[in-house]
Amino acid sequence: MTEPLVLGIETSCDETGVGIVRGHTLLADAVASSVEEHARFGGVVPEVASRAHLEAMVPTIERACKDAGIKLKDVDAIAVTAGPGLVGALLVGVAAAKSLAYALDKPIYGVNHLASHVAVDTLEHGPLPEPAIAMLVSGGHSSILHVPDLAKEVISLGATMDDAAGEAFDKVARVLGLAFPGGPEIDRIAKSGNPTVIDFPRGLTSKADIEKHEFDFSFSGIKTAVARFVESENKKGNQINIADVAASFQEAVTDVLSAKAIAACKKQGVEYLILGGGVAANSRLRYLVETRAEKAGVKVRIPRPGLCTDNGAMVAALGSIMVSSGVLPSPMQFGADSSMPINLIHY
Amino acid sequence: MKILALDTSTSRVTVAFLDGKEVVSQKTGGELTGAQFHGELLVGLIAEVLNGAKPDRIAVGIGPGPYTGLRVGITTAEVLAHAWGIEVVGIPTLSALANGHIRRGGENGTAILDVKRKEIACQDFDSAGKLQGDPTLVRITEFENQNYSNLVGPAFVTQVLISPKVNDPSPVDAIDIALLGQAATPSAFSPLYLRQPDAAEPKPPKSVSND
Repeated sequence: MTEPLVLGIETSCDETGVGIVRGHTLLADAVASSVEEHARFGGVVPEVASRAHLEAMVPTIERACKDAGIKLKDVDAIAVTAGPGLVGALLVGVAAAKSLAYALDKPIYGVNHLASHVAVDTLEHGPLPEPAIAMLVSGGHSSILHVPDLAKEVISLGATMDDAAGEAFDKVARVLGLAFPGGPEIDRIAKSGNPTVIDFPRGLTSKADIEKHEFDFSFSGIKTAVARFVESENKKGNQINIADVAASFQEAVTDVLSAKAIAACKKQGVEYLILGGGVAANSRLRYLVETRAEKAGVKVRIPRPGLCTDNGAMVAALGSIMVSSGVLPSPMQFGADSSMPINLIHY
Repeated sequence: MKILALDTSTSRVTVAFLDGKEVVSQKTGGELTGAQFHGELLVGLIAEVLNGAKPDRIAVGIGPGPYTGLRVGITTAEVLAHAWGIEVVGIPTLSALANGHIRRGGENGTAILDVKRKEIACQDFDSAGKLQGDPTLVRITEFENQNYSNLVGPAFVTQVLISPKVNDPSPVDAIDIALLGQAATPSAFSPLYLRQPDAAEPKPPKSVSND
């Protein structure tokens, strides 16, 4: 049997993504982003994102088919992000996917966005080594997952208690007068800064916190700490070295993320760590994770930055794994679930 | 012409399949008031009315109406049309209300739709059911004080407030979307949002100091 040809649709936030894969082979990854429309608001505006998804949907489907050199009727299955995410945004993708599945008479899989971030790695590095630990860090999520079987069983080990890591990057960038989205900006400017100048708090790393929140995160405190530092320096009339502040902030966040990811691998006795989400594109996080993993004997797999951020290929990749694993398709009545839990991998 | 018509501008989903003027099948889903389940219901209802047939054209109501539901209908119509390689036309839902009223023997009047946030979309239509001018948003408090000669429209959610004023409270009917859709010339269309997204440019960061 040839490997399944799967089309995946992603609209959980501000990227309209349509991807096409055959098995673990990426054929097309068409993404239309509305990020520039959100920049002046300093964050994603759900209604702006939803309007953009509607406008971009059919053109992005067309582009993906053209890039992949396939016709829609050749597709074996449709996969779509059912959640978690912005409900109005998700619903555009879900409606589009159901329409394709119905018109083409193909099975549909309404899947979990976080599981898709793990699945995308198979497009670059081949079949998933299972069990694996996955750390997903983006503007909307910061989670550590134990993945015994991506098609059937994913267990949450920890998640952020407040802000997502990417959200903290955006907010700190704003305080420092840098552009949105803040992640790439801070990464860039931190390269010329000294990460040891300011000792920003590392949330949920004290002994007492570790007992209760071993693999959880908190990034709200550090965001306030940076704002407080900047304000107090301003008040004193001191010139702020933005590069040092950015580097020190980035160091604190990536230190906690990488330490907890490796600790999760050790505790679960798992040999493989997979990184995903937009923050996985951060150069300091990649470096810290890779160095610490090597010391701990953990093998790391990080997809290239373009696949770490939201896209349709990751949804198609998960759909392909589901088809190959014999998972039953979703019933046509499923909806969008803004808070879809990770133990629900698909409907 | 075989035409599939649908509308999701209100909390009730309406779908119809017509062959020329003949109504082959028609379905509605959801409630007149309350939560919306357009995303869950719509494709299932379409499958029921089509029953394996393939239309030559799709017509979709483009509002005004609550945005999320409206987008489910328009996305569905556009993607189905793309997948089947057929035409899709967008029909202003107020014009479907006017058409229905004239079909039932009514006169010229004002078509209304609930667009939430205590506002109602209003647009006048003539004795042929043709819409006049552009739709306007009227606050419910203001709406109560106006004298409309012939109000036509469902006004589900604000029913308590305005139902005594509505002369023909018939809900949106996909048959009207279909009839207008058969006569329409296909061209690009967008939802009738009538409002800009709610978003303000951020103010400077708030102080976090204690003093």
